[in-house]
Amino acid sequence: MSIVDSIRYYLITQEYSWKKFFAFRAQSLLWLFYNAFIGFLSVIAITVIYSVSSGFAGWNYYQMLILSSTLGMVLSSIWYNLNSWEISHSMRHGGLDSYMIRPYGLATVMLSMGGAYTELGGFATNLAIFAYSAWILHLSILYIIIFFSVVAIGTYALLMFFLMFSVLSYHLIKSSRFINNLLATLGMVGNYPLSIFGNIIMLLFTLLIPIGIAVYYPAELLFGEINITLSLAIIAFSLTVAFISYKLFYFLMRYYTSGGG
Amino acid sequence: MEKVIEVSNLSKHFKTYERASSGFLASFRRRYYTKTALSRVSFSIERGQIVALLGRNGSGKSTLIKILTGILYPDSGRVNVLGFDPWRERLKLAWKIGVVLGAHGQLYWNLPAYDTFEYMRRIYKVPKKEFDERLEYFIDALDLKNVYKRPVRTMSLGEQKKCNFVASMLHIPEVVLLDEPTIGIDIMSKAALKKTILEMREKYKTTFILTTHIVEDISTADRVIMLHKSKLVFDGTKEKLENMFGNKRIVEIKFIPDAELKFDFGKIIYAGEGVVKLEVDASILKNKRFIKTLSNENIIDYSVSVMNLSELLTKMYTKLEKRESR
Amino acid sequence: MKFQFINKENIDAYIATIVIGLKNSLAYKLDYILALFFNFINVLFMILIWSAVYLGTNVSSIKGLSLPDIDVYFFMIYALRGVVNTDLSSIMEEDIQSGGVATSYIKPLRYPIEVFMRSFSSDLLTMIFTTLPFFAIAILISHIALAFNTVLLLLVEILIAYILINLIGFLLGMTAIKLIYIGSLTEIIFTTMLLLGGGIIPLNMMPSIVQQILYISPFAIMLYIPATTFLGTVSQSVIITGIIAGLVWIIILTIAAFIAWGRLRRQITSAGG
Repeated sequence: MSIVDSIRYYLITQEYSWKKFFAFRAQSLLWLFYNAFIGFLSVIAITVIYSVSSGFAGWNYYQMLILSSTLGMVLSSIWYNLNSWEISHSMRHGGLDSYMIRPYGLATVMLSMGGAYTELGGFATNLAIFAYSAWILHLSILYIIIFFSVVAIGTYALLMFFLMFSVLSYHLIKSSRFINNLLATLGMVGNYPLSIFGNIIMLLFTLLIPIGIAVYYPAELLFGEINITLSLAIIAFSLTVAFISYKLFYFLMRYYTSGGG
Repeated sequence: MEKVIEVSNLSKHFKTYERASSGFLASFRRRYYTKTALSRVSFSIERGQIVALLGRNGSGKSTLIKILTGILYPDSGRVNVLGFDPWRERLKLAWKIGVVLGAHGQLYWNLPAYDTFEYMRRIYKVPKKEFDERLEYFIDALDLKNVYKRPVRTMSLGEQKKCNFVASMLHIPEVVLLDEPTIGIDIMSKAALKKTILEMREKYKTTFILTTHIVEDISTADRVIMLHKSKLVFDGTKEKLENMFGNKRIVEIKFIPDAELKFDFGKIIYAGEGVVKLEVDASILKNKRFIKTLSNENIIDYSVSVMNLSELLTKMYTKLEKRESR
Repeated sequence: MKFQFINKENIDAYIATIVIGLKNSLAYKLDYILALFFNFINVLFMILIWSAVYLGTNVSSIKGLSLPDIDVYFFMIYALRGVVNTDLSSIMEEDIQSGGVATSYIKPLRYPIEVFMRSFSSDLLTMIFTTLPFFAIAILISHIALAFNTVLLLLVEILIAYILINLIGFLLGMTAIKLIYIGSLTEIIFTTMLLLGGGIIPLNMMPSIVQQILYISPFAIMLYIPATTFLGTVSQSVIITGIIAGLVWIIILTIAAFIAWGRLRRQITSAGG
């Protein structure tokens, strides 16, 4: 199965998923609005913090907005494609069977099952916040392109990681509800510089639950705080995470037991 | 004839648990055990055959279907479908098979069924012209003209099942696996489905395997494979199944109540006021004493029928259960 | 036989509803425990974030709250979130989509009470496993010796908060009759409540005009006012304003609930299946 075919399948499925989404227009528009609105919550929090204090050492207000909006875009991308609860629910009830008979890779099929399409609203809001902050900070276009390339690789790695993790958690505890709690934690932690949490937590969110590779380190690169060598190491690490997660995912799917009879 | 499915010594086990005790702490304690879903099952199916896969609930039918489609991984044995190992070569196999699972399976719940058909056309790369022709055929054959443009959630169960069937057939698969396709659908829809299956077999040499525990579904099949508690216990034609317990007939006799009549032919399977049902060997019908009994003035009416499959299967399951308990 | 609002048979049925709700919530125990664990982790992260703010600013107090106060504040917030976290609207949404309302109708119970009992069972678990432990930690780290009238005041505020959240949940759930899927609306309301109730930033850090508006909203009494009552950092006038506003909102929302239920219950159709 070629990458082109996989992309094609993904795009076709997107089209029908959006049609499905708009079957209930009021609900869908409300969700879009909600996700756009949620994107501003961290702005409010950061603005209040910086209005009553000098904020976080080494990070000015607009740099914090860059960091927070990047996290928002990364999480929106993950949630757009992945619904851990839906995956474990499908695995538990045999609902995955109908997808597994399709002539496309399992990872492609499961990511195409889709998550929350309304995350586009959140993505758009965070992109706007990023653009505004980048303009205020006079960041160069070249650096922004490099930055987004590194973020994209990191996001892909995280996506594969959470896909694998959803299946792993299903096998271990037959549920993935807690993954939403984990993502909410990441949503809080990733808004702020990892360095404020101490070395152990920094390592945890770099090596074990690697949100850092998609948000914190690219931001440090953007602001010139890390060198090219370290940047290349981050990219290599992201690709390694993606590869290992991919392999582990297929290994775990071997033990899928379907549901019912 | 070309073999499209070959299964050899297939086994599959599941690890599951039950509550270890009763009382308040029961939900915290579990006893794990291994459940055997399939045990050394072997069979082969030729192109164009329609095979009914029979068995009681929990006999392993759905597990077998899921292994044949690559959804589940076998613990041991060999499986070959159209020359592919379903688990290892799932992607290549998926282009050539159709699978109908559940009621609304692949259909988008809130969208018209037609949208799902279009979607399937695109992912299976069916040319538009062929898609239109095939769709027209299926809509007509299954009487879906006033149905397929409505959202799936507004359809009855039977309509959903028919649309789900169409969605899985549009790419004209070589092998089709249907998991309990007629559960909950009406007589007319069942007949339409049966007719479509036979036409597809005729036109495209499509091989069908349908799992069922409904006896009427067997009438469509050339062959019956029966599973019982993970084992394959029967593999043969309908006729062979019918003759398993000898050439039996059911004789129902209505007579004047309180008449003194003796029915010592075969086995009495039902006795009520003025009516008795006997299970007899077919040869008894020529027995002079039997004929004389039926001519008795106290006999109001009688009928002779072939033992139906439902009764046969019940006998078979009973025999198997007895064998298990010994 | 004349149907009574509540009698011995009803009580048994309602209690049975709560018990089975508890069992259902604990069907995936490890998942539940992990969700609780992450709740706890989130508080710790919140504290680390604010520690960084205080250290970065090099001050001992921001808007009257010291760093230890902030720590206690967020433990109280998470304790109170356990109280104002209701499943009522999502249970009603599920019932209306699946036709489960009909199943409830055939029982000799009133649907609003029966659905509240089902919601209460998961609320009870949350209060036991979230509210109480976080409240205990708040007491331990604050070294506050609670006076009797403070405890009484807290109980009143928490009761008002619990009634309010269930009224909001019920009204939200009723919208499912028309909208079918209400997940988005629910999320909007509850996230707004978190922000406007001081769940993310203490309300006293907001501009003062914003504070005045929020104190008369139904949200401040749910989180900020009880948390700062415990801390002893909120003024009497704010407490009184919050309680009175809470009671007024209870009256308004109760009337709205009665009217909505009276009008919409006939429109509940059995769907799905």
